[in-house]
Amino acid sequence: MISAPDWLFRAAEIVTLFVIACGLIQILFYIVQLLFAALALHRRPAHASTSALWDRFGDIAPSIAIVAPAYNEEVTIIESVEALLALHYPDFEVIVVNDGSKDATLQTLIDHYSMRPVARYHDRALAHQPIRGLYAAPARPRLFLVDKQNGGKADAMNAGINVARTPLVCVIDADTLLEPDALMRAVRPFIDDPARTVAVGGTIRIANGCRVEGGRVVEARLPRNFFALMQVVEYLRAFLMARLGLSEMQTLLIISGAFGLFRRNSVIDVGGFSADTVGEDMELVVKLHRRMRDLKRPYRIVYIPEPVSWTEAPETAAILGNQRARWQRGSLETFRAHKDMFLNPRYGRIGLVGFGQVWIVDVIGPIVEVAGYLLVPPLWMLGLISFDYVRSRR
Amino acid sequence: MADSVVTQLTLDLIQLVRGAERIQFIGKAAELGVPDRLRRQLRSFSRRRRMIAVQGLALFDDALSREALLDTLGDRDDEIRLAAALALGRGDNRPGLDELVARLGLRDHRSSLLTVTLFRHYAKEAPDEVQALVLDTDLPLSVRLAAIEAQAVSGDYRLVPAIVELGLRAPDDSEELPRYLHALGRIGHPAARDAVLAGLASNSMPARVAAAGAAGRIALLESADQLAGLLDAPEWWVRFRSAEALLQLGDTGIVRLREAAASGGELAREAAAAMLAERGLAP
Repeated sequence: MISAPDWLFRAAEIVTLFVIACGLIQILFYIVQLLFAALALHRRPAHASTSALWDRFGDIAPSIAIVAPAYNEEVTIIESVEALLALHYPDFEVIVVNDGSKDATLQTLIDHYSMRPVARYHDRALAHQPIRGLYAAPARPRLFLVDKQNGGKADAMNAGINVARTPLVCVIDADTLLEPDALMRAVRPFIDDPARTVAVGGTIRIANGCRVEGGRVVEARLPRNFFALMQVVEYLRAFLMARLGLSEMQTLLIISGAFGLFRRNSVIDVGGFSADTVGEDMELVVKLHRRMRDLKRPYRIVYIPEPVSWTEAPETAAILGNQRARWQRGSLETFRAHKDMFLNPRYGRIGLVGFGQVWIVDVIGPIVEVAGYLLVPPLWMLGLISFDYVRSRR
Repeated sequence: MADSVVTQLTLDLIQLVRGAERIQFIGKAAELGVPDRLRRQLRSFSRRRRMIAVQGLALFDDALSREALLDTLGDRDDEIRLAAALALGRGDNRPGLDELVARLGLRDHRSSLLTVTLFRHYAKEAPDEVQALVLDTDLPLSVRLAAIEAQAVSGDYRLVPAIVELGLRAPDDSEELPRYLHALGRIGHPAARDAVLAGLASNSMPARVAAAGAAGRIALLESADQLAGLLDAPEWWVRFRSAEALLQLGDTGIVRLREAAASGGELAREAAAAMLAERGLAP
């Protein structure tokens, strides 16, 4: 123990108490989420086979446009599109948006499906980079191709949503592998509560290590890579606890960009995906909450626990680090852009619980966590950590 | 093999097949005691297990299963009650629709699209009961609209005058006006004329979209001028549906589109030219 002025002890105590309080609040949030997730799992619909879902919803399921942005995907694009075209759903269209690829993505699609330039009258409500051409395949009427100048994923999705003519749009990542009945399962909240449901997300699982054939996961296996293996556990926690619990509380602030089903008009009303943030998926959901709350309309943004899609997780520390930095930046940008909603009673539980959680977990969480580790040595030197106490508890 | 596995496996197999094979599977499942187990499962605390039991019992058309499903109409969970109603609605000895609506609590609860499916079962065999729902002003609007939609799908024209009347009386900015117009378009009867023409002049965007759709489906030639005027509407959906409707009107509509493409306002020119090009009708 070193000697130090009183004010330093007092300051160290305050910082320590703040770190402990933040940790306890986070744990409290997680316990509440866990309870709500348990409730949601207890109340979840019985898992039905695809044919049973088709029997039940086949004649009332609303039509869906799947918007699949593609950038430099020439190697995998055909396999991905084939898998999308083979989805089990009564009425859907696949809109592939070639976002100014530098490789032969566009030509690969045109050649493989014998696509021809077509005219299609489309909306211009959402801003995006100019469209260079529209293509259709006479032999595959469900497939439509938009070729546009490069503008990023959000920009490509906005172009796809403009071109879509369906009440619902499903946005996915280029490397997302969908379950064959993903749409049938995800559409259920729109059938159960058509007037209020504006967006639906589903469970995304890690495809690393799985056997994939024809753009489909045909056998689920655990990855051998350590980083991917850890992310399997992390995804289960994030989806089956956090998102399920938050959805049950009606405070879900994110629907992953890897798979989301949205009411098209609602997305257009809020200006679509924002191209100036890396967290465009979270930002869109926050904008939907904001608009519906501002209009005082009853609404639901729902998460379904059933697995609907698979994605490749990073397998190296460098790529994982980049991905997490991007996610963190996305959360912070969204928080900053909508900070007036934080603890604002006008936004009810979204302002209090939803933004409260973002603040405690994403905004100050990382700082507090790092500070907690860094403070251990100086606190020990000040005599504020009692190792004797720790030893006596063993 | 555990009873629960046999039950689940049998239900999955029945769902996979159709026709004579399905009847055979259902017979075998009955011999294996699957309906008895499902009836017992209806008493489970778990909502999921009760739901599986209801959906399974829907496949068995025997008196005991029907009795059990009728009892399930009193379940504490509204989705299970609706699933039981759907199962009963498919059978030959279905309960009265009025009784179902009361037991489902539809007078007080939000409405699922599955209520449309339920009403469709009745629209074919008991259209009068569905019509009674449409005209029952004490029912929530969502239930009446679901009944209208079910009736529209069945192609029963008798409700057209009543829906036209409702459409003409509905406030301009109401949620129900577009739904009435949509139903009229779906039925496709020319008696909807007055409501459709009024809808095209509405200030409400959803109402104009629905009216344009209905005008096209009915092939209402009188609407051509109004539809051509709507090609310049500020909302994309109105322009799109109007152009689509004009194409459905045949030569009369195509002439209007060509005029708009040549000399209309900026929005109308774009809409008309693009829609004509899309259908391969560009000059």
